[in-house]
Amino acid sequence: MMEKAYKFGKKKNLVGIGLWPDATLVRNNRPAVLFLNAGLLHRVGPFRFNVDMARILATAGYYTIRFDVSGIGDSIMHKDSMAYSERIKGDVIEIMDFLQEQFGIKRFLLIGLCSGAENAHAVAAEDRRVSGIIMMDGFTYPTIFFYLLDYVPYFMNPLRLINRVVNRIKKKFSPAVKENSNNQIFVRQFPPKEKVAHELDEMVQRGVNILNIYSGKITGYNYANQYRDMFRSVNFKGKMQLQFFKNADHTFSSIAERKRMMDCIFGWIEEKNNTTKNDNN
Amino acid sequence: MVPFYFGENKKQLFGVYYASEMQIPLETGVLICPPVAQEYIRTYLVIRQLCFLLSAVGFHVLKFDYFAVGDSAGSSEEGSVEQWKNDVWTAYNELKDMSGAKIVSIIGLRLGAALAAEAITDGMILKDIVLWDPVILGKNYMDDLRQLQFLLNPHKNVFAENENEEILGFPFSERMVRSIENINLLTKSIPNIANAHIAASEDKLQYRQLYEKLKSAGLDGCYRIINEPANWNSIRDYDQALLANNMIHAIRSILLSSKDP
Repeated sequence: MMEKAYKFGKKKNLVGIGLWPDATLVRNNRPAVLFLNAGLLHRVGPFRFNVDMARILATAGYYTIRFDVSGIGDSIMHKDSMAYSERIKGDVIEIMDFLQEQFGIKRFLLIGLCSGAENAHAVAAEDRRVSGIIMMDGFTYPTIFFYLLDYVPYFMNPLRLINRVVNRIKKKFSPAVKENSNNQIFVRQFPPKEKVAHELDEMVQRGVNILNIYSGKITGYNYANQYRDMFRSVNFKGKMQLQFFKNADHTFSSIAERKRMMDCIFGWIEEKNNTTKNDNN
Repeated sequence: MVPFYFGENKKQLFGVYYASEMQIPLETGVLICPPVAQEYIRTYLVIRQLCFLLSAVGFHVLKFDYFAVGDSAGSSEEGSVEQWKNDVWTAYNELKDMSGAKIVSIIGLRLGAALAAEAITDGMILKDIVLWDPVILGKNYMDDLRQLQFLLNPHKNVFAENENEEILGFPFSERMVRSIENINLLTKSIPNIANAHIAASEDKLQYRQLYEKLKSAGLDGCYRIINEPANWNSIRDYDQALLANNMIHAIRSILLSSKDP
């Protein structure tokens, strides 16, 4: 396998690493796998997850690209008036265009953690070349059961409830705490749930495969099936798989949990790209 | 700005080269030696900002990832001080080749500072070395990391998976740990360099001790304190991007004003 550094995009402002597997391993019709930035982390990913996962996929014959969107890592920000969310979508599409023009790749699988997951969804909703998305700690809309699980411990332990109320009041009136929370430079705001549900519907109609992975320690998600409950209106037709790693934190800092997650991702990608069937066809 | 791979075939290193942006560039190249593991992630942005700052005033700059770090070849547990010292040497030669610079200065941050100091050999022609919040005693550095790991998860068995020690999400092999713990800049002599500077985000006794040692060895240089605490050992900040605008401007000034050898 060979790793090569690129400057992608119409303005050559996007830096990424292409990993090309040995030619003997490559199979027709496999998607190229694109790793999107997790929050403000650069393209190596949390604890080098993107690097390790890309190299594992290369041993099975997948092309991979890990790259930085505009303004993150080594990529330069575009000087235009586009909204940042649109800019990120544009960046991913430019990279897919490059791979299609230069290497004839027509199908793509996007992997993203946190904001990367949301961006993967946004691109998949718009670009029909995306045949699969892997979203890690993506959308977290609350459900009734979420609230039950979140609040019941407080009613079972009144001291904890008092503590929470006091902290809420402090937050509301304390300038220091307010400043601290105002200084947060990275706050997730999701699109309207109905919009996301509609996009998921359309993706499923198109045949996009979806793997959702949630960690057990993310705010806003506290039980395994919450994603299904969030999107009860969507008929996933078996195209969505949901995995909950209860003991993992948001960035899968534990090596053991990270390995389990990577095994899950690899198994899913191999299953969905069903190499034996494709080869026979 | 040129991203590229260089070095020997099976141990390719990833680097980004920033050519001088001045019409008449300075004759000095600047090599940046980053930290490793979680501090590498934390400092990626500020190092990039430093590169832009330096290339804008005429330096040719190369930043790179060591073997087994970042985008370079190698699994995370395969790194060691011996390998990383070789990587500094490889990057030094690459910078000279790419830029045509007659002389090189090195900026080392945290463990990168120690690696830079350890890597200096008779073959290098160096003008300045800037040690930015340097790791001076490798054993203390490892103990600090272990303390952070303990604060993060007191119940974690850091040797659960295999013989590697798991610290803040990264595997540290026994060889890596041993080689880091052997670092002691207070007993290391730094040859063949005109100016050695320490740029510190807070005043520390060990930094002052190192500065005195460098002065007594006849090196010119400064001990500059830029009060912009990086909180390297804080559990609150260990996973936060380092913001160090004043520091990178100070380092630029140090390099621009330092004496020719």
